[in-house]
Formats: sequence, structure tokens, C-alpha cells
Amino acid sequence: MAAAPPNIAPIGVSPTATWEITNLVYESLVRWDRNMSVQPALAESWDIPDNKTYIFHLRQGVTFHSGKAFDATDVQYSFGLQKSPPPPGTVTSYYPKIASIDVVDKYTVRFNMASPDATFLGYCAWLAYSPIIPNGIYDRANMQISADGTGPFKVTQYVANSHVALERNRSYWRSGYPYLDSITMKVLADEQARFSALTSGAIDGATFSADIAGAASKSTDLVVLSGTTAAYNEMSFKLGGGKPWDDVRVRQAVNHAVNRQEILDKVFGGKGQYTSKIPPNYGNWPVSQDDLKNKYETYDLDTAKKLMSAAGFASGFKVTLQAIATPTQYVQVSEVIKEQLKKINIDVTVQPLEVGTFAKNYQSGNFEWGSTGRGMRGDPSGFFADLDPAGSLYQHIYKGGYENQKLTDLLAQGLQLTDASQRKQLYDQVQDIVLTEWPTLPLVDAVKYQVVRKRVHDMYVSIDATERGLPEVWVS
Amino acid sequence: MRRQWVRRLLQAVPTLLGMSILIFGLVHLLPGDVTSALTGGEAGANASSEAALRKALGLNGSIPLQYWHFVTGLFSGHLGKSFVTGQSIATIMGGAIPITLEIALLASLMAVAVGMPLGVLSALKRNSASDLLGRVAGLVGLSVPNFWLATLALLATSRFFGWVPALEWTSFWSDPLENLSQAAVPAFCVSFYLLAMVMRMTRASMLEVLHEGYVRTARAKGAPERVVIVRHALRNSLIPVVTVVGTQVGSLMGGVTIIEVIFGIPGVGNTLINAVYTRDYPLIEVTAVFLAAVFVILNLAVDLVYGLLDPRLRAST
Repeated sequence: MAAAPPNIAPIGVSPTATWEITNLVYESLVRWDRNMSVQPALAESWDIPDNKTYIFHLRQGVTFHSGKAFDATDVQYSFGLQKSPPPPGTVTSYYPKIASIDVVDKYTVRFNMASPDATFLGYCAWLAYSPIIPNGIYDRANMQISADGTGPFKVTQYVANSHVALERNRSYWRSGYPYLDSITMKVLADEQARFSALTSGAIDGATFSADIAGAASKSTDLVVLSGTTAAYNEMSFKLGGGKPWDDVRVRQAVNHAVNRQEILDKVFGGKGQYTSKIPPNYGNWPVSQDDLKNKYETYDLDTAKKLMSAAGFASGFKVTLQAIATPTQYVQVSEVIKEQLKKINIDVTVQPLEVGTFAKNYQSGNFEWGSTGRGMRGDPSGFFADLDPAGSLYQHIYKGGYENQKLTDLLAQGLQLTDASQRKQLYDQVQDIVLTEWPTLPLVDAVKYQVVRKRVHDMYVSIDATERGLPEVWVS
Repeated sequence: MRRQWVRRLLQAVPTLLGMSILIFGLVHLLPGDVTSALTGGEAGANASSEAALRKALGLNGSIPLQYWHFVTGLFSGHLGKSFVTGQSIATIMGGAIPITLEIALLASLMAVAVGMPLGVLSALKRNSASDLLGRVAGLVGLSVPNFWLATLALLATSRFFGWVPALEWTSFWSDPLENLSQAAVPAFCVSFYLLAMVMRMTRASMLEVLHEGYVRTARAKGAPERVVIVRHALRNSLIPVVTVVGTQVGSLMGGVTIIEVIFGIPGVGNTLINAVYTRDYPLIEVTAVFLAAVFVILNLAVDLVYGLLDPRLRAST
């Protein structure tokens, strides 16, 4: 692991490093397969009698790692806790619109929604915020350093800043899984330390930058795995401050002056894809690469200059671009953009900031432009949450500078519409608006590299940047 | 002598107190807090829930009030709990301190055990090839940053000896050999700068002392060269060396922090770095005060050791 999980609490908003552990230990009612198709997990099946009711029929014979039998009360308890997590957990704004949860019988649970909520199944399948834990466990144990789930692996040791030891759950309900008897998730923040450990055989796999992955590809003992994740790069505009970029034409000019392929080439070794607000490989939701490259995100300096002239900024302006300092890619991307925007006379000053400072500035709208990254969402609507006028981020970042009633209406409809094909059409429209008016500027989605030893089979790079592949991995 | 010790110890109290205020102030100057650090500014975080958490953790109180709770906790032995893991900080520190102290101690021993003889040798063989080599090595040691050295050491040890950072730290008491094999390379990386400094300091000090009258007198009395060097020259040249070692061992704690992160060692430094990332205030404060206290105590010890080494200092205080 490149970052230490600050804790292994299953409930509440957590960083990805925590999910890397909890995803292997806990389960929810449903799960995603590799293609993000929803599959049964702790619920064997479910009915949706109307758009405000979900009835889950739970799997019988499942036990938690502690030996406790799983039943409907655990589901009720878990979802209740997700709504009001114990410290240091905070509730996610993605928590579904659940009005009440009824335990129909030992293995049947009914969710009554306050209003139709199309995000519910995705919320469960993502697992980040929806793990099922034993009824009352938070009263009995410190769940920040211990674990009790139904997942394929159980935690046998958690040593902060060092490692987490996992052992195969021999009572796992998915017959035959997992294949590995035990896993040690070792924290090695230094990339060279990870590579040394990998080449000497001390570890079996780790995440690496493009440079190291390139070196690893020359080794006959190592296999380089790659894939894009939902953690794409984006450039945010602080709107509503009476600045030039409040004008849509300026934002469109910036979009056409940014050469995304050059960003991929210079910062990410040429490996990656263009991205919309919904990242590539996120089911069937994102805009195609062809449309992004040839319609929305074309590099067209002439058009960019014309747009700047039309907006009255032919001579450009000065702007400060705040960037997360570590990992360095955000600053590197910003430096490339700085050079590119010189061509339309925009004088960009890149300001690297420690991630805590950046986050605080971003949340409070204390920036001009920001070079940031996005992350996984349980539902496509999540990628547009910051554009919801009811949200706090909208209030701080967009209010007074960007408003599109049609977009707001579509986003509201998207949360309620349950028909998959209608939703797809709706989010196509949403993306078309965003990729035309550019309230924010999605940039690129770089490839993530994981390098494993040759004996490791069936591992893959998961779109949520965690180690979802491990339950199906085997070693020869 | 006893009065001097007591006075020095009493002087350390306001120093530590001042340091705790400084650390507390600096920690609270860091932007964001544990809620924003755990959520990273994600759109998924709910603002009102974050506010409730701040209240639950006591982050809504005034800074002086928070400091008062912290410092009274320190003096009453209740170090509090980590915001992020809910573990008692005493437990966390109990696990981390022995590791860090061991690496620092091992590094200091390496620095003294290797640096001092090399310094003496260099002084005795002044301007010889070995002296030149030692001086160049000393200069390199002073110039090479230890994080860079650690990266090189990782590459070299994994390639040539198959040594890599341990997946799980083994304590000295459960398996001494395994423990030392885990600690040796990190300790070497930490010690490199100090080793070079001890070597250069010993050499310079020895060169000065070797020209003193009492050394000439010892030789004139017919004392064997070994006795002249060890008893008369080396002992008298130790005072500046002790000063350097004492103050630099404190500085080693900074180096240990970086090395612990690179080698994935769960010591105080690594704990501090990760606590800063997550804005785990109580843990940052305790670890930082601990590191500062080590520094103060070492300086205090150096002052006191002077007296033992040099009777003149004992008489003058």
C-alpha cells in the first residue's frame, strides 16, 4: 500500500486507503462485478414493487468472521449507523433517501424511501459507505482498529502505519473463494521501497508510477497490469467572482486551448484517456472517446483565440492555479496547462499546496482555478453532486457564476429515474451541457499501474482504485 | 554538582512548556482538521455531519481551552485518544517509542563506534592516503541527504543481499537477531551524517590535543603510545565530540522520521507524519512533544556529561 489507512472503520467517509482494507473484509447487500454490473451479495434477490420500495431477500447461512449469524437486524443496524456514523465518521452526502427500514422477517428487509432514489443499488454495490456489520458491534468494539464482516478476508492484525494482516474467511458464502490463505497489506509509502520489495520477492504486488512500471515491464519475473480508475484529473473554476472565466466563452476557450493528449504524453507517459465528468470505463455511462476527442475536447487554438476575442479578453488575463502538491502529478499537469494557455495569453501562476490546505480552500471556494482529482462514485449522479445548487460545494464554488436550470432539472430527475435506458439518455444530456458550458474542466484519466510477480494470477486494476481483484486472485 | 543537576532539570521545564505551546499553536495553524483530512474535500462528505463531528471531538472550543485540556492531560498522565483510531495515545506511543529509540541508539552507536576510531586514525596518519580517504568520506557523509542515501541503500541491499524492509516489525525482545537485521540498514542510513561528523570532529580535536604539552610530557615520561593516545589525548579530545554527538543525536530524530517512512517502520516519526496527514491533533502534539523532549533531555545530558569529563567544568559551576 502506498498510503497508510488511518483506520479501518467500516462506517463513515474514509480515504481510499481505508477502503483498500474494508472492501476485502465487508460486504453489502449487492456488489459490482468487474464490469460494474450489479450482482447479488448478502441479498440473494430483491424486488422493487414501486419506485419508493425495495425489498431484499437475504442470503441464509452467512456468518460474520466472529461467528455470529447474519440476519435482517444487522442490515437495519448497519444502514442506521451509516446515516449517523460514530466519530470520527461523517455521513456521506450520497446516503440514499431512506425513510425507514422494516425487518419483515429474519431474512427479509424492506426499505421505504422518502422519495424515489435511483442511486440506492449503486450506493450498496460500491460498498464504500454501505458495509453490513453485526448488530450492535459499535457498542462492543473499537471498530476503528478491529473488524467483523462477512467478506472474503478477516482482519487478524492491524498495526497503524505498518501493515494489516488478513486471513482467508473459511466460512465465506461464495463457494471456493477466496483462493489466498492470507494477505499482508504492507504500507510502503516510498515507491523505491515498494519496487525493491517487489523485485526481491518480499511482496507480490504494488501500485507504481508509469516510470517504474516501464522499468518493471523489462523484468521476466513481473507482470505489469494497467487500467484507468475513476480518479481522473480535473481543473475547477471558482465562479461568481466577476472574473473573466465567469464568461462561458472564456471557459470554452480554455477547453480548446488545453491539449489533453500533450498532458497525457508529458505527465503520464502517454497512457490514459480523455474524460468527461463520468470517467471512462464507468459502465456504459461516459461519453465515448471519439466524441470527447472530436467533438467536446478538441484541441483547437484558432477557435480558442476567437472565443477569447469575442469575450473581450484577446489580451488575456492573469490567474492563479492552485494544485495539490503531493502526489506531484497535479502540479505537473498544471505546469503543462500553464504553458498551453500562454498561447491564448492567459498567464497562469501555479501554486502547489499541501492537500489539507488545498481541500480547505476548495471547500470554501478560496481559489481562482484548482487542479484536482476526482474519485469513485456509486452512481453516475455522484459525479455531478457539486453542480447541485442545494449542495454546499455549489454554494461556495459556482453560485452567482454558473446556473443552468435545465441542468438542475435533469440532475433532479436523474436521482429519481429508475429505468436504465432513460437514465442513460438523461446523463448523456447532462454531460452534453457540462461539456459545452464547462462549469468545470475534466481533463484526463491516467492509467494506474499495478505490478505483480509472475506467480500472481487474475489480479486486475479496479476502477475504484482499491484491490477488488484480490478475492479472485490465485498464486502458482 | 547535585545543585547543578537540579538547576538544569528545572530549566528544562519551561523549555518543554514553551515548546508544547509552540507545537500546539503550529498544529492548529495547519489548514483543515481531522474531518476534512479524512474526507479530502470530497463532494461525498456532508458538511453538517462534519460540523457535528468537530463538536464531538471538542474542536469547537477556543484554542487556549483546547491547549489547557491538552497540557493538563499531559501532566496528569492522560495523553488522550487518537481522533482517528480511538486508541489510547499511551498505547500507540508505547509501541512506537521503543522502535524509534532503538534506531536512534543503534545509529548513534554506529556513528561513535566507526566514526571515532576513523577520526583517531585519520589524525594519527595525518596527510596520508588513508587520512585523505577518510576526509573525503567525511565530506560525502555530511553532504548526502539521508533520504537519498536510504533510497540507494534500498536498491543496493535488495539487489545484492536480498534485504528488504520487513513486512512486520520484530521487537528486540522477541527475536534479537531478526530485530537487528531489520534495524541495521535504516540505522546505518540515519547514522551516516553523524558518523561523518564524529569522524571529522574527532580528527580535528585529536590533532589539536596531540600538540598539547601534557601529551608531550606523557611521551617524555616514557608512557606507551597506546596509553598516550587513549588516556591522555583521546579523553581530552572527547569534550567537543560529546557536544556534537549530544546535540546531533537530538537532530537524528528528524532523520529517523524520514527513514521510518521510507522503510515503512512503525516508529514515532512515521506515527507523527501520518498523524499530520490526518490532522490527528492529540497524536501530533504528543509525538512532537516527545521528540522535543528527547532533544532537551539529550542537551541536558550533554551538559552533565561535560562535568564528568572535565573536572574544571565541575569546579566552575
